Amino acid sequence: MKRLVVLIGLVMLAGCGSDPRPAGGTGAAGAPEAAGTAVVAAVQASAEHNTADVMFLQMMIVHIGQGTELARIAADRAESAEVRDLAAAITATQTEEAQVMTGWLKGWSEPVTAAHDPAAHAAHGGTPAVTGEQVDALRGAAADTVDRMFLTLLTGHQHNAVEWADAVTRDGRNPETKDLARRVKESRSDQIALMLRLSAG
Amino acid sequence: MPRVTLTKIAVYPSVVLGAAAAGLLATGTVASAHGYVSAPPSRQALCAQRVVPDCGPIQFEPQSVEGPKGLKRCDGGLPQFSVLNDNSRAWPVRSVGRTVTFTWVFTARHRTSNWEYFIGNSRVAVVDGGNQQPAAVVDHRIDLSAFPGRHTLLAVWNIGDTPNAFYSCVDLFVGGGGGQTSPPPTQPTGAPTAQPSATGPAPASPPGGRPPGAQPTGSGAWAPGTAYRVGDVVTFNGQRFTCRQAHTSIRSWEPSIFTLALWLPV
Repeated sequence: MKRLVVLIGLVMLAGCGSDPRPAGGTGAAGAPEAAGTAVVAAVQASAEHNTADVMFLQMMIVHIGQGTELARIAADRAESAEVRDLAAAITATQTEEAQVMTGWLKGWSEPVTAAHDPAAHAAHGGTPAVTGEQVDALRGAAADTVDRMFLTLLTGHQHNAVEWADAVTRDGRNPETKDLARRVKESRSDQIALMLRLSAG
Repeated sequence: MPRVTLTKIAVYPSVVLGAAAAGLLATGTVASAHGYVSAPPSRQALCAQRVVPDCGPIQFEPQSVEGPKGLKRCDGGLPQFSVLNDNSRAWPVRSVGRTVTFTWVFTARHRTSNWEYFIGNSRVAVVDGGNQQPAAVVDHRIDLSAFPGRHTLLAVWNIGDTPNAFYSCVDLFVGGGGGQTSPPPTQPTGAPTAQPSATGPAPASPPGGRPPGAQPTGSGAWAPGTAYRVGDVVTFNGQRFTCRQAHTSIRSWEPSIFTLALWLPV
C-alpha cells in the first residue's frame, strides 16, 4: 500500500500542468492517452505470479474490450443522460485498466491474448453473457430499446467479471493482480447495482 | 501529461519466471451458468442493489439460484440463499398494471427449454425456449389480470441441456393502477394477510443512488453515490481533484492512480 501511495504521488507530479480540458461530459472519448500512459507507467506488478493470474488478466482484457464496445454504443445512443454518463465513465476507467493489465502481462513476458477464448467455456454451460452477437444486437437496436438492452447486457457481462475476480482471489498468486481483482469486484458490483436500479425504472 | 513518456516495457523488470507453463491448466473460472429476473426487480436483484441489506452471498451472485427443475422455492433449495425464502424480510413490493413485462439478465446463455411463471400453484404463463440460446435480451409480457392484488410471483428458467432450472421471486401488487415506475417502499394497504410483515430494517441507500442528504454536486470530501459533473472539485486523502468525466461515484472510482480518466489532481 505504501508503494502505491508513492506511485500516486509520482503520477500527481506528472499530472501538474497537464491539459486541463475535460474528457467531455457524455462523449465516448474515453481515457485520454496521456492518463493511460501514466497509469501503465506507474502501476507495476511484482514478478511472482501463476497461471491463474495470467488467465485472469488475459480474460479480463478480452472482457473489457467487449464491455467497452457495448458502452461506447450506449454513450453515443442511449436516451438517458445518466446511462450515457455511466457508459462513458465505464469506457474511460476500464480502458485504463486494460492498459495496466496489458503492461503486467508484457512485463511477465506472457502473451496478452488469451490462448483460449472465454467463449470456449461454452461447453460447460452456455456461452458467456456477451459475445459479438450481442454487441451487434445493441448496435442495431431501435432507439427506444438501446438503454434497456445496454443495461441488461452489461449487467450480465459484469457478473462474469465478478466471478473471475473471485476465482483469481482464490487461485492467484500475484498481490497486485489480487488487489486489482478486489477493485474489479467492487466496481462491477456497484455498477451492477446502479444498472439494476436504472433498469427497474 | 506528455512528460510521462516511459514505454511500458522499459519500466517493467523483464523477469521471466520458470513458467508454470504448458502442462498446467488453471481450474478456476469455469463459466458458471446463470440468470435472473432484473425487472421488475426480483428478490435477488434487490439484494444485489442492496436495497434490501444483509442478504449474504446472494448479493454478489443473484444469477446463481440454480436447483433441480420443478421446485416452487424462491431459493432454489440452496441453504446459502435461504434469505430469498424469508418472507419476514421487508421485500419491497412493485406496483404493476395487469400486464407485466419481465426482463431476464443472463451471465451464461444456456439452451432453454422454457420459462414458466407461477403464482401460488397456478402456472400463469409458459414461454417456449425452443431449446435455443436466449436472444440478446429476453422480455416476456405476461397477462396477470386474473391475479389482482399482492403476490410473490415465481419465475423459472428451465435449462434445455441440464436437469436444472433458475429461480427468481418477484413481489408484485397487480392491478394497483400504477405502471412499473414507482415501487412502494412498504406493503400496500389492503393486501392479503399472507404477505410478509414489514418488520425488517429500513432499506439502505442503493450504492448507485445518491444517499439522502448527499451533496448534489462535488464539493468537499469525495463520497460514493454522488453524481459528479465535469469540473467538480473534491478532496480525497488530503489532495484535491477535479472531475474530468461526469459519473455517479461508486467504490473503486475514488481518485487514485487507477481513475485518472475520472479525476485529475488539481
